[in-house]
Amino acid sequence: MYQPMLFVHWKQARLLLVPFVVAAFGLPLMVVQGLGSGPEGGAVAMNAYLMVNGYQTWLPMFPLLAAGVGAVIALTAWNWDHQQSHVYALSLPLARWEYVMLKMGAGVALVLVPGVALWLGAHVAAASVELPAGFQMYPNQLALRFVLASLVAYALLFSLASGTIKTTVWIVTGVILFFFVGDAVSTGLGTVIPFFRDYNIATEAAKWFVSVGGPFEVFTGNWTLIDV
Amino acid sequence: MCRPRPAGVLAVALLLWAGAPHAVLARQAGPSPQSMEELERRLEALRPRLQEAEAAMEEALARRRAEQAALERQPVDTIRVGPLRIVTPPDQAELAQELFSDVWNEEFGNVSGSPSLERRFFTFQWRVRPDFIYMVPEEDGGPPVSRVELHRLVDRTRARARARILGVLSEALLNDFTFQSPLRRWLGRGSLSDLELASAYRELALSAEASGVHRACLSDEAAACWASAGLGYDGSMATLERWFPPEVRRQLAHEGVALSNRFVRERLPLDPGTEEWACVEEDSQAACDRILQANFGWPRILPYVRGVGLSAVEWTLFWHALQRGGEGAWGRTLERAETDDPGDLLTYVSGLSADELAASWQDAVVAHRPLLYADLATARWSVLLWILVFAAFAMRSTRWRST
Repeated sequence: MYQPMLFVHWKQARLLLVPFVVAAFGLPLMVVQGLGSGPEGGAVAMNAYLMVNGYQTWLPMFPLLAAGVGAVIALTAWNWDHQQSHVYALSLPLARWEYVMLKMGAGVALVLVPGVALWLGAHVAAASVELPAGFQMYPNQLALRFVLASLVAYALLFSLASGTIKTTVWIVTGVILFFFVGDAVSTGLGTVIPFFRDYNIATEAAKWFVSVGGPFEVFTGNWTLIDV
Repeated sequence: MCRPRPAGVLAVALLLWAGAPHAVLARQAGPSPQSMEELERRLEALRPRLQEAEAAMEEALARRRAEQAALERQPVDTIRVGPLRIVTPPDQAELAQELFSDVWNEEFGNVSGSPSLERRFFTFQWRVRPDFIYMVPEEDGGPPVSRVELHRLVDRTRARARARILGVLSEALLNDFTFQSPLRRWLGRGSLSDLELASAYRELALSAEASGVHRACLSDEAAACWASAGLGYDGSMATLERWFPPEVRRQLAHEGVALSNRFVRERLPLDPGTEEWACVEEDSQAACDRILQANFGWPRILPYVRGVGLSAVEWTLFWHALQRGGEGAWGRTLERAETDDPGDLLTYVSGLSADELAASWQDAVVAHRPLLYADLATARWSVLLWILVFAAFAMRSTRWRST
């Protein structure tokens, strides 16, 4: 059952995935563009800090790309179910949870496609430049982080897309409202209760989302391909 | 009410305009020498009245500032941590005490008798929306003030708050030395925010290709660490040859020449026949080597190798010397900072020889090798957990349950 599920998902997603796969392969190459010491070993290495600053401008693209990959695969996962009003799914001799797990597993396999592209791109990038002594490339770590970030984005959007549009709208609206109302309420309370001058519910929630243990920690960590 | 007619207004304007050139011509003719003297005399006579008016204005402005400040003023407490006086809102006093004590005890344990810290006040707040803490400005006779006013949205962690406190204290502490002191000139523009040994490691490692001296330092050569910090070397050509390949020696010498005052500030051409000319214009290795040998200790060359404006190596070495020096180290620094060469000062302050101090600092730096690459550390487990949580949500389809 897994194989046909994977095949159907692949058919749905493959065209949309092409630009992401190309980007995943090319981004590490863009990062190292113009880096590496020349044959004389001088000026570039001497401006090592400039070099680091130069490639760091590309780094925010990695989490964005991971989020994009997750979104595309998640949305295409439920596309045909929604189009056919879930008739196909209901006709299968499967429990709901089994169906979801198979579908999710198919998506996980598809996430690996851009993941592998990025891993290859990072290795090609690492091989294409001769870095000054002291620098090291970390292609495996970067690719692993990319795959995990894509999986988080995929899992989140997969769970949202699995429900009805109405449910999704409710959840998204609820989250947005929470941040607006949380900020306004904390500000208001801050005028009468000193504790809330130092504690903003919306800020603390946003911090928790991206800090250690939060769902989006993997997006805000270090995406450095090159370091000492 | 009688309103002026437009025609009348126009006529008056025309008359005034017609008269204006005469007035201008009269002014252009200029006063006679006698009337000039008269004017000067009258001007002088007006000067005291002008000064009185200015004084009155200053007084009024100061009064207005004080009134404004009184309106904006919030209740504050003043707490003490070591020699530090910290002005903070009462509800933040405990937090201020805690954070300043942590930083002071950990980093400034050997600092005592700092005149600038004893004079200075520090304000502290760490809020979502910090208020303004009014302090009498220095120009109105108030004490010097350093502000640690942190925004919780920006400075989110305690580590960040501590780093900001550390930076502000270090800037205040630097005022113990004049700008001309050899120590301050050697330390450059950094601050104790550069105190992270990991930053020093990065500075050295990132330039290790170009600079064999940095490579040698990271490979346990104490003398190279001393030289890496711009504190001099044994002066031999053999050492320079060991640390730098010929093309890098030429490049360093070019930098040495280019950065010299004569070349940069006065933009004078190099004199043919001089060592500098031979090095730059003829690319003579021998001439460049001799320039480098004579100027290697020059503080501007090594920062160029490491990266302009980076001073974590100097700062961490200075701070390491203070920590090794133990009690009274700051007093010893104050004693000689204005006169001694930085290398001599560091050995005096730490009570260690140059080699011992450099080796000890090198150990500390290598022990703090940073790991900043895309490592996931504990994130991979939390990521897997969240994926499972989202998958569990996905298994509960409202659509299926409703059909």
